[in-house]
Amino acid sequence: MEGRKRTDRSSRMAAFKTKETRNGQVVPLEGSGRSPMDPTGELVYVAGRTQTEMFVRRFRRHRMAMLGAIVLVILYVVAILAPWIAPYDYTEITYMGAKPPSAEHWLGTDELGRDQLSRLMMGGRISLMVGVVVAVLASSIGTLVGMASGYYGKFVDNTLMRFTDMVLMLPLLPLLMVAGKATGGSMWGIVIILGLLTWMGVARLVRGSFLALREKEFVEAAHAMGASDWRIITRHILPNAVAPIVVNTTLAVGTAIIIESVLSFLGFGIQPPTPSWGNMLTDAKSTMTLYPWLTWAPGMAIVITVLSVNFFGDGLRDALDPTQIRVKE
Amino acid sequence: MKSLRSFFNHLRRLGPFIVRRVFYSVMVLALGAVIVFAAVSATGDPLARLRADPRIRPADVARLERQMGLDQPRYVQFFYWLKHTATGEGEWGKSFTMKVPVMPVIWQRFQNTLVLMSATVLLCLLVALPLGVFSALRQYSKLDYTVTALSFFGFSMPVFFFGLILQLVLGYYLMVWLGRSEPLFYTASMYTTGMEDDLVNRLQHLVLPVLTLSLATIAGWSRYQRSAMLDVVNSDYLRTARAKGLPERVVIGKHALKNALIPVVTIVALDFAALLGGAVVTETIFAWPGMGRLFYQSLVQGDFPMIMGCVLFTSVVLVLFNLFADILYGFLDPRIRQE
Amino acid sequence: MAPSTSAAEPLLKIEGLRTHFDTEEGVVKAVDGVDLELAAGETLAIVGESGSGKTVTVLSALALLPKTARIVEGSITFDGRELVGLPEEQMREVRGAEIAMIFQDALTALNPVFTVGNQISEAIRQHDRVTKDEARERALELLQRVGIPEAARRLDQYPHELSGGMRQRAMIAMSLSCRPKILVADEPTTALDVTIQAQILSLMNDLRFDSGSSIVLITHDLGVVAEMADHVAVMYGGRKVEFAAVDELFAAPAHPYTWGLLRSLPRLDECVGEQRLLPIPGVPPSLIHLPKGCHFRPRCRFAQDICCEEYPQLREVGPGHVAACHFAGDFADEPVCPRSDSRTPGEGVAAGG
Repeated sequence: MEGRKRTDRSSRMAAFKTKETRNGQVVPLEGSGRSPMDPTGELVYVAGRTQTEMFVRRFRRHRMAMLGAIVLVILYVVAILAPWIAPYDYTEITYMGAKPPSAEHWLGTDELGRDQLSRLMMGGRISLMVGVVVAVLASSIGTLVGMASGYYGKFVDNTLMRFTDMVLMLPLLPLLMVAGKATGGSMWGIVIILGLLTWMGVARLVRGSFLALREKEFVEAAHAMGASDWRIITRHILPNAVAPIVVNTTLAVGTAIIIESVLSFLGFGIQPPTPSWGNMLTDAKSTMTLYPWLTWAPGMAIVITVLSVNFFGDGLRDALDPTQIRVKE
Repeated sequence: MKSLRSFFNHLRRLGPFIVRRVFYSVMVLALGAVIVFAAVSATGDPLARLRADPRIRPADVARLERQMGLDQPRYVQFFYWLKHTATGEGEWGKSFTMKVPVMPVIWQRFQNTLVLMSATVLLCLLVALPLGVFSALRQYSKLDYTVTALSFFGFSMPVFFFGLILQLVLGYYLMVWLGRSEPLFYTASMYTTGMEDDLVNRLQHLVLPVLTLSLATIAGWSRYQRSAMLDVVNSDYLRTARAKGLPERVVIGKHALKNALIPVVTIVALDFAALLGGAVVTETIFAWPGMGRLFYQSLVQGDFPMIMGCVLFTSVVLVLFNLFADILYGFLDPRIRQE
Repeated sequence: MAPSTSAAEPLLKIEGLRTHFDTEEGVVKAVDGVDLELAAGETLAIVGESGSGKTVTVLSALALLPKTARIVEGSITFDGRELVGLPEEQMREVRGAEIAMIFQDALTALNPVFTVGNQISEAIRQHDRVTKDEARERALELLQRVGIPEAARRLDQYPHELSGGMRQRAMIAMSLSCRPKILVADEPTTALDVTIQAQILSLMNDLRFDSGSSIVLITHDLGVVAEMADHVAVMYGGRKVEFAAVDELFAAPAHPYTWGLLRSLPRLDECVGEQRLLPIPGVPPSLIHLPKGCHFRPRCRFAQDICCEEYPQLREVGPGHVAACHFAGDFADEPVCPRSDSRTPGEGVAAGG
């Protein structure tokens, strides 16, 4: 039965899950609780598609998510290829002073006469990379903590969750600023600090899934067959809990990009002359009324990127997760 | 009379729960203080600036070192710091730049932050909760799609960029367009010097920072209220309420709303943390003389006692709000009881 | 009992009801042409598997359907009034006051944040002009009447503070609050322990004789049917496939599905020793892609070629006994407890909710 999504009502389906499904899969309808087809809370069955088909179908229906995915691909390709396709060297002083957008400089030049588009592309490299690395790091930490907490329960769970709650209560941004100052604006320093202070959401989420899944029959069966804890966790539970982790990791990319830009903007993140979308705005701030294009370009770059990430993540959530498990914090 | 009785009933029911939460909060604060101290002292030697200053004699620096316990292990320093900060006496508790005890300064600045926060919370509640409720009631309607789109936008907008846009558009461009010499909405400070008592002037200063701070919060709360309401709208007990023949106004206004507001009320309390964080950025951009800006300036200047004081004070506020949220939840949801 | 209708006229009459759900997968024909009648004072059981349309049928009568559902055609008359298309204002006066519902799981059906007393007196005050204190007084009486001990204390408790059986009693008390003419009970005992089930059923039986209310009992439990019902309607795939008086149905089931339901029950009174349980193989049909011909054909052990071709009309097999099967009654010589040689059971399911 693995590979088939089941709702909490699986016990009700218990009677249906053996040979009756031989002619085509039987899949409970999407949606939790009472779906439109299941108005009474009783299950209605349709001869179903495979999970991948369902996923692709649902994701493609999500027009904004498709758009987000396309924009993200473009952004990442541009960022990776930036050193080769940027119109100018980002440090090159091409002009005396700031110029509004023109044919030579699509996004204009900054006060030092550097090409804004080239700087934006190089800054994007940093922002996009920080976003992904931080999200993966935070999710990994969160998944480990959540796994241990949810699987072992009792004392381990209590200790870890109390700790998680404590970290959640700490003032995030002030601590990040202090830490950013301590690391002196090195990119990896910021990545590690961000990762260490943003894993709590995923930890709670994974814990929740594990708590629910460890009670399931197939886990008990694996126990009975003498499987080790590690094997049960990685082979039996984790695959069933992976969808919400993927969704949250995706959304965390957006959050990380925003936090990095805030830190850099305030001067405790990526330090000039290395451009990042955040510190480009710091420079632009004082001359905003004179050279507004210097503000709009990096700002909109952040907004478009994060918006794409959020739409993409939202589409993933709807497509991957028929039961709509959401983190509420 | 009845409500008073039920208040005491709740209190009796929640007594052990509250005691446990208070104890827990104290633990968090202790941990928070350790982390704050460790993090801030990791940023470098607190006396580096003084040592580098040729006007200050090495003997004075040595005296300060002794007073602050810098010649002793870190954990001893930690207690020096706690004691100095709490009493306002001793070098750890005094701002390096202002030469005064930190806590009174922080408290005074916090009041300005509180003005900003209160206005923001009020605005967010008034906008976000109705938006969330109505978009849930009319799921998949035009209103719902619009609110959803706007909230995605709100989530994706960094506070500082939104603040800058507001300064540019509602501050500068609007002033030029109206042909005024003074902006309609000011982009810096709490009031124009000399007009402290002019309420209108204060409001003109308040609008943009509050809008800046509200955007993400409105986006978050309205989504949260919407999903809480959606959970409730599909619940069995609403069907029961309808089956009793109650009019839709009572079904939604009484049965649905009370259930849907419970989770949101706690989120509102908990989001104070995010707002305090956002306030650091907003106050910096709008030169609002609050605690956030004080913290930012102290961090730039390396004013160790002030930095630590600010973070510690913020932690205290956050812990208090968490405690408040827990207790409030206990009062609102009869299912929470002592274990 | 004050009969407001003539003896011949049923209290509730459902004719040709079709209720469909619009979903992204297609139109779900949850109820597809159902006729039912309920006389004053009688108990009608509606039996069927999950998704057979039994709950949707009664929700249609009360206009409590979810937004995605619509009544395509049909008429529902209650006490001589047409309920289909009745304005919401007037429908509200029917709900709770004339037709009241008891839901399956009282834990989710009662609002968790209001006290039991509050929820009962709210129903009373909705339909009768009484003061808060009077409503509370009546709520107390109701709780006592349904056998809740320490009723005065329970009045101020929240649903989660009561036991499962007690909650269901409170639910029943609430449904009785305005002395309804019809009590609709949707799987009232499914969520309860077996011993509590018996208590709740006997309570409902008592109340029925006290008040003279008619009862519509939705269930998949044939034991409950035998104990409570006067008449039984069996539903399958959104249609009524058999209708009979309860004794008649148990003695001579005329539809293979009913026959299968009875056959899948363990019985102690006959065939002891040789009896083997015989489950109905297969799963209920998809209500979007219903099989051509008889809906039950894929699972029917007696199916013939004609069953693939046309849906069988209801036909009379005895006095007041109808069944929708081409061979209704013809297989009656197959004993309800066949010899163990008839096909090995193993796969398959019983009627289950």
